Amino acid sequence: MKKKNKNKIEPESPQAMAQLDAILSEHFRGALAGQSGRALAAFRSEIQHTRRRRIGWSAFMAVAAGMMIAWGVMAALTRPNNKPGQPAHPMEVAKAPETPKTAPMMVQSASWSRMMDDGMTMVNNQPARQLRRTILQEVEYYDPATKATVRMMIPREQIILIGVKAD
Amino acid sequence: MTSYGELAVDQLVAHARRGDARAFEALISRHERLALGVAYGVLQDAQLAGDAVQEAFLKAWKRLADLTQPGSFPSWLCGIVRNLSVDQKRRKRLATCELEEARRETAKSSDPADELHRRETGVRVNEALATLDELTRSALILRYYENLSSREIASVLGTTSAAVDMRLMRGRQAMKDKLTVELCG
Repeated sequence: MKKKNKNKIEPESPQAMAQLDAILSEHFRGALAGQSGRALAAFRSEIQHTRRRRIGWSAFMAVAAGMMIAWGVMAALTRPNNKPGQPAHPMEVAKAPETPKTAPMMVQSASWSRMMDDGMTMVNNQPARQLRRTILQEVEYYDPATKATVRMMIPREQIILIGVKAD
Repeated sequence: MTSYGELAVDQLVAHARRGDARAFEALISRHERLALGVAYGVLQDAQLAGDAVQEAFLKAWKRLADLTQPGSFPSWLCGIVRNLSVDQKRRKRLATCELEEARRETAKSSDPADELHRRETGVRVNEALATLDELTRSALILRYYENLSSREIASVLGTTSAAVDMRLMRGRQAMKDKLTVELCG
């Protein structure tokens, strides 16, 4: 049995235009039905992505700021004292001439060092082996005048270059 | 709490310009069908039209500051949709889109004969639509899909109501002639 064509347009029918209207409306609705809501979903996804990016950036900035502050504090603590009229290095305080009454006494001193091989380098167009020596010296003083104990940590670094004979 | 459904377009645009994503979501909900109609008029491909509309709304969100008159958001948006659709038309369509579309369409109907007939009709309507010029096609789509008045269509397409009426009349006649021959001939 042949199936009735419900979308058939009768050529001279007075309802031809109404049939056409129905066919077109149904066609466009059907064709675009699957597309509704895609734009909204894409926008929400984009907003979430942007928020995540912002949070990540803020966290990075916070960490960077924290590192800067820490670096600043470290620099302030290890900075040589360059005030006018005062010695440039804490070690010089101990060496500076003082009256025996107020001179702090060195109680103990210890140092740790580590040597690292930085590999080959060129110095004045000559090959050289570069060694890096890091030294941490701890010195403790006792000031009888104030009865204060002062402990200092002095980090140092030495670069040692050993000439290599090029054959 | 703001009820976005009750706000006018220019108010929603004002909210969205201040970064209110909910207001822009309301604008999307209100204008998505219109944008789809415009894109489909250019592309004649539902999947690509959906892609273009999606992209157009994201672009509109980023460029809201460029909109000089908030009340003219619909026509401004349709301009973006149309430009993106024209760009997209130049690109090649991916085969996967056709497969997805076919899968969706197959899922719509359980009667294979009905489905086959519907698909055949769809193909013929698309062929008939393809013979029309772009403005006439867009006018027909906006009338039948979004049920817009001639004045609203004219505003979106940047023409006059009289020109829209003329195009609708000629387009309907051309479609009727084409479909009468195709479906009954």
